[in-house]
Amino acid sequence: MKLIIDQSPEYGELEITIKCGMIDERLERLIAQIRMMSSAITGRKDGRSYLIRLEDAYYFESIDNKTFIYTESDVYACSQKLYELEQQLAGSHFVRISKSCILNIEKLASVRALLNGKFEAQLSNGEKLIINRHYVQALKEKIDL
Amino acid sequence: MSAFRHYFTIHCYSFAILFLLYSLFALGGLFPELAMKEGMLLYAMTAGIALLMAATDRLPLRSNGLIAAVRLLDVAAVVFAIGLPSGFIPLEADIILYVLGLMAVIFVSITGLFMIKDSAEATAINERLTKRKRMMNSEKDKEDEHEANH
Repeated sequence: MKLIIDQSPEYGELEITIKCGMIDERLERLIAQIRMMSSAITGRKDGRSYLIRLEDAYYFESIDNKTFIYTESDVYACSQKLYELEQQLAGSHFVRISKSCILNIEKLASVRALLNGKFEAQLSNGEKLIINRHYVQALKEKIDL
Repeated sequence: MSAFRHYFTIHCYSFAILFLLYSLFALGGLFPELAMKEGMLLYAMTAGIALLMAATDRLPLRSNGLIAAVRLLDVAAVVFAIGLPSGFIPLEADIILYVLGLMAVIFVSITGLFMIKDSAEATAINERLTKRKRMMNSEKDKEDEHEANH
């Protein structure tokens, strides 16, 4: 793979062009990574607004019609609805794992089967989430399984 | 697998195994021969248990021990609720225990079968996650090496 960086003070907004014969698994992941890095979301905490990079978000959860962004150790309120985030995050590393939760699979450390047909996801910060049976297939497709 | 298919499969497997075991016990003279009405009651029991499991599976339980205990309670609740009023199960302690034990063994076996399948799926997902992390780390190492050389 050739890496060409064309730097000039004339250029304004950063533009990334990928030239390829076909999009393979590695390239798909790279594109998803670029999408994640180039996107940020506004979260509110203690009356202040913060710009949170998508790659720092562990998961989004909807509780009582309010959406929250979970990072490694903080929780922020988000003005967007979960279904809006799901649409916005299509093609990225995020996947729906239950009616109320969208997970960043880059933060998924492992999964464990439960007796009731659900799975328990352990995140890289030690947090645990429930993956509903209905969404397991989507998760498997996301990790190319 | 959709939720409906999952619980319907549990119901069908359970009914098939229960019917087979009951027939074997009846052939051995341990149980009376199964009449049409009793067959329908057994069907109602396995359907009721699958329905109750679908409801209790909504509880946010994360311990497999607790989930198993709730499932056994599901079995007991339905067996009593259908078996006692219909007279299918006489109000005798040893018979009640025998029937409960039989139902519990069937449902534990079925749950175990699903658990084996789900555990295999979890192992495959974990292997894939490990492979992805290894690939990402090796790509990152290459990038770091590339940056260090320039």
